[in-house]
Amino acid sequence: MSTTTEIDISPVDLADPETFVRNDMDEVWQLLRDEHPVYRQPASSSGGAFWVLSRYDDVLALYKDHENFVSGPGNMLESLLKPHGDPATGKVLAMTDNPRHSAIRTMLLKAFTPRIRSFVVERLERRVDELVASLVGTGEFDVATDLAELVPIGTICDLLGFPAPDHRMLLELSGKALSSDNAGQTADETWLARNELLVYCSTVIEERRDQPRDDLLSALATMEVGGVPLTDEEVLLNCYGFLLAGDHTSRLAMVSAVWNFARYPDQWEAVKDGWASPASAVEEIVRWASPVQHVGRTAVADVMIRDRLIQAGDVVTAWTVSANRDERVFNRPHEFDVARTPNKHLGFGYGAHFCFGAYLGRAEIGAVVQSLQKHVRHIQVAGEPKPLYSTFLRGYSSLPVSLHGHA
Amino acid sequence: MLIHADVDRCVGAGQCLMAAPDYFDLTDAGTVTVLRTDIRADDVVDVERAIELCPAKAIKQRHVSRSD
Repeated sequence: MSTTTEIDISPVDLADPETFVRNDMDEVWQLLRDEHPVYRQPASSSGGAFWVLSRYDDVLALYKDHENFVSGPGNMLESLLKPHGDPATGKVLAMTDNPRHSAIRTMLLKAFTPRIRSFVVERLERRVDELVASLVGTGEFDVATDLAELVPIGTICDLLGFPAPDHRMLLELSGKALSSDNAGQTADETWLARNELLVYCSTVIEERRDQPRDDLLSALATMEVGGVPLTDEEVLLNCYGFLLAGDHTSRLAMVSAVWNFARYPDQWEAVKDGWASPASAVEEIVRWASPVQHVGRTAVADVMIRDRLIQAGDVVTAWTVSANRDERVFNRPHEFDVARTPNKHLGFGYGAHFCFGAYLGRAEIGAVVQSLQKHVRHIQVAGEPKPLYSTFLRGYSSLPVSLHGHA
Repeated sequence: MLIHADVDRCVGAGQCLMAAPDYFDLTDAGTVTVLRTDIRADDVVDVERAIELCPAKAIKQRHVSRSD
């Protein structure tokens, strides 16, 4: 390997959102996977030092070992590196550890009944189909704002049981609350949006406590763990967690789907003409997009990962985006292949914290793929996509295209 | 055709009960339990989807001959 050009990654700060916009990250991940699979990112102006795992096997092992690597103190860099972390740590499902995590998660999965699922998915498919049909042949539009943005929030709100007229407002607040769409939004603006969301949610929760309905919100509001009901704050933060977790990720995957169908016409043909199943295309879209770039854990014991000693208290990050391109596991990982088999990507995570909304995420992306297949002949890109500004999320916040129909 | 679920491999992702709710459920411990092991002809697609979606590959189908 002495003939390869040495790329120095020390100036690359993985805690700085700018890094992901300025660098060719494929090159950075390749180098990390090959040369520094257990890399220690030094402390920087963004925060303290943390470990970086980039190979599939190591990322998978971290997900599996929820005894030594916990989620309670936070599950992403932004919250883990801040002095006071995230107010939701230890309270929302994604940042709770066993046995409490398993108890709440199991009850919620059971509350996600076939009746609710078919209600949510039917409305989803209708909404997406009408949207896509209305955009075909109308000239240039933005996939991110005119299509993707209008899908997940309605779906999560249907699932939780928020009234339809409130969906728009929830979308705006959740956009600001995650603070990833625009560089330059102040921390105060972010916190303000988060607080507004919390106040709104708490009102609806009260209503469901008084009069439970057949929705996830009521399940959360009336749930008991070991005979003790969840506190208002826990119910509220979980609703808010679902909104945040399910909104951006699905949107990014949908934008990625359209972008990649446009960039790789042979793959679009395969989907359009039915050579590849929508279900298989959905898996490849999730692998390729990897909307959640990393997850973070905190070590609670001294553990060796390969030849490096991780000490109790250390923050360890697992980079799904790199694992999903690991050539040790995937053939031709840098090819977008809608018929890829097998495709055991880690786009939804793994283990105890496997994406709770994976079922809905797949349904949402699948609905977009099927509606495109039904209404669209050709996808024309009308401008450069605009990359998102985030260490946590990955994808595009804008993608101008026009869709041409079959006629 | 019979279904077998390996509780030791199960990670409680819950995808099987989404795909085939007549066949899979989670116990209070958060791991898979098989509700019925014989697959109705109409449900083969759902059960295969459950097997495919399990991130831990904990569910297997076993083909059994009539003489078993």
